[in-house]
Amino acid sequence: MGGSQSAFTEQELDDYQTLTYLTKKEILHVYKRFFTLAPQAVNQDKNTKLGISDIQKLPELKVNPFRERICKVFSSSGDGDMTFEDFLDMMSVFSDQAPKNVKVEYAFRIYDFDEDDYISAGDLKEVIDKLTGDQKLSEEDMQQLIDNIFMEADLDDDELLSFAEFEHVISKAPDFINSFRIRL
Amino acid sequence: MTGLSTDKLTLHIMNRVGHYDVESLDLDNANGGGVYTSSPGFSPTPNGYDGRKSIISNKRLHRRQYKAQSKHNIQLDHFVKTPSLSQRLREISQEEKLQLRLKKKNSKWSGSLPCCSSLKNLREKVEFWGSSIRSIEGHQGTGVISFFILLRWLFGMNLALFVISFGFLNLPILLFDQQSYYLGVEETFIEQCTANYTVKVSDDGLQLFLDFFLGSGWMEKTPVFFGYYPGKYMTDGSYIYNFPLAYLFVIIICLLLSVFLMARYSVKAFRKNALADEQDTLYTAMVYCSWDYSLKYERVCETKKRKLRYTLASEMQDQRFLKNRDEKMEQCPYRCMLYLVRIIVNLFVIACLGGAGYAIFKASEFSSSWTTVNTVESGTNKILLFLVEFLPSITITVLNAVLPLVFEIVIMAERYTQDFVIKLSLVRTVFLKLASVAILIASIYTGVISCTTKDSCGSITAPCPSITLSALYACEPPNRPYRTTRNNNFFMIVLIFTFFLSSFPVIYAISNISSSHGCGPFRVYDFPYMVVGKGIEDVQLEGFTIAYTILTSPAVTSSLIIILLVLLFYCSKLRIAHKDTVKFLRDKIVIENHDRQNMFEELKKYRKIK
Repeated sequence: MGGSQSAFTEQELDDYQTLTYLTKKEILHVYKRFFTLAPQAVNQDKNTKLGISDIQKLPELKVNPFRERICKVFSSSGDGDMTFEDFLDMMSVFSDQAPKNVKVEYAFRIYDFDEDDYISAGDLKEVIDKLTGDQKLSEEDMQQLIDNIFMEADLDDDELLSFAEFEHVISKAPDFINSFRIRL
Repeated sequence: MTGLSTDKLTLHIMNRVGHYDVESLDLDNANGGGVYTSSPGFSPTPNGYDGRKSIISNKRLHRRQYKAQSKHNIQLDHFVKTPSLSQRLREISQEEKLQLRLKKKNSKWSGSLPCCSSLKNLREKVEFWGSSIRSIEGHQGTGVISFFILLRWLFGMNLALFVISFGFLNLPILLFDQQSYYLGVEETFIEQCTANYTVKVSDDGLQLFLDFFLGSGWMEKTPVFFGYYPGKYMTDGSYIYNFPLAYLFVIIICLLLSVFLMARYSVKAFRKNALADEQDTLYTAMVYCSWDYSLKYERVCETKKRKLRYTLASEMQDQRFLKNRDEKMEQCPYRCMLYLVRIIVNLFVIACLGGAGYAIFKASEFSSSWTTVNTVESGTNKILLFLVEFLPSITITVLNAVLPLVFEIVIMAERYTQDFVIKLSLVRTVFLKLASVAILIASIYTGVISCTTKDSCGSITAPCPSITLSALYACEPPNRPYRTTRNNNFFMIVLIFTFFLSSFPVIYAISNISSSHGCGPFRVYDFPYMVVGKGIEDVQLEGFTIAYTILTSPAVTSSLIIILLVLLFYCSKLRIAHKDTVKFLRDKIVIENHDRQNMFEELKKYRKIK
């Protein structure tokens, strides 16, 4: 796919490189992957918006339990449909070079299912359910786990995790950076 | 929250904020056993499963009794979302773009030496096994990958050591003409010993095959063998190359380089985890950091989900078990019996380890004594001879396979938490494997040093290279989904420990074992370290010898050691101070949050009054 180089002007590539955490080579690679999701549509117009079902054809997202939330968070229209720039933004945040605070912010947005800027017990329950798959945790275990998490993270005891509390507790976890990463 | 109009109000609120702690304390005493507000659906009882002595849990109980009424406490600095890329592209101006670009360029090169930056570029272009690692990552996740990345780093370090030793030892042998070798010292009886020492290469095929493993026979004529290297100076007319000195320096530089590289790796890893206190974020990390976003395959994800469910359920069960056990521990009979059982098991484990060490020692003793009596010449079966020579290794392998299983069975009786069980089992198994290595080294040492049948030409020292790697393979990564960084640190610690264990015989050999006069680069000298003295003499500079004697005198070296000890003490004190600062700042976060809530409440009241 040598044609990907000609899809962007030098200025556009420069701008993308300045505003994201990817190098020019990586940006072109991301474009290549975006192209393979819907070759006809992207060939006609590189700024076309791909539907959420197309985006989820990407192998890295297909098996991710949070794929719907990821698409919703990065989509500029808020409904899950992504343009190439949204897609690039997503890959930039998930790349190795993105700093920890950026990753934490987007992680918070992804895990906030009801989008009220707080992680409530309901949000937590949804995350755990998605993680355990078909077989759910027992009611008792779930409640115990939620209580434990609130005890660790909820500093002001309002049964809600604000962004500051989330950031505070996640920055201390050493494995967050390693797990919150997609390499194309 | 802009526009606090009157200064009086501001002062008033600041005062209230400042006295907040005192106020809350009073309220705590007042509401001793009072009713506390609760949000619907969640039990307000304090977390009774918690076996850990957390300071926060008591404070939490008090705070719950004094809680703000509203469910959604409006924070003064609410969550600001980063705009999307398209929005940023539209809104940013040209000058800001240029500024960003400059900032990026500077941050890339800051903090790295010019030579390191070119190395980093090279590493980005040439990534060994990049595609294999990526495919494994897709299948198994980041935990397994970190082990392979460590192995790749190890390979890189070995490559660097190889380049150094090849460049300084083998290249000169290839480049300099053999005729030009000359002895730097006038010693004629050395030539006699060298001439006397001949290697007997046998004709028998089986013997040749066994020689490859034992390092005898034809192997002694290859560069792999210590005795292959000449003990002379090399010259091409104008340039003189002191080979024995080069050999000694290569050994020392390789040791120092290994220490430096391992220390740098450990420090990098340590700095990443410096503030990470795992106990405080255990369950949150389990939920939010355990899904590996780089997994790509359906089957693997299903397995991972099942594993995660099992881990979560068993952690909760563990916590209930701990609470149950701690309740029982309050009563004396259970507690005393458990302690007794633990003491017995520990004694048993120590006895096993001691027995294993003794068995290895006896095996190596038997092996060396039997092989000196029944040599090939006296007509014993070659295969039997081979087996007995390898008896110590066979014993070690059998013990390493059987004893960990035994340990696994007995540890269940000790009633520890799952966490501690894994740590303790790992420690015991590692001790077993390191003990085997240590005993083996000790028996080699007694065998070589106390050898009485030495003639005036001396005996040969045997190197032991592959012990480091085998001890590393002793650590199998335990099956936890979120402990990758811990495992890496553990591997590195084991590596460093084994490195020092195996460098000790080398250093001992350099300083205390009289060198063989028959072969090897040190054949001219009584002890290998004397090469340095001779090398210093060769340097014809005026004050050089004097400077050398002063620098290696006891006064200077002991002062250096004292300075190092003082620095060590200072660093450890600094670490404790930092830990205290972290705790203080953490408590400050809580207080600040309460202050803000309180200030907002006050503002609301003031607005209502107005």
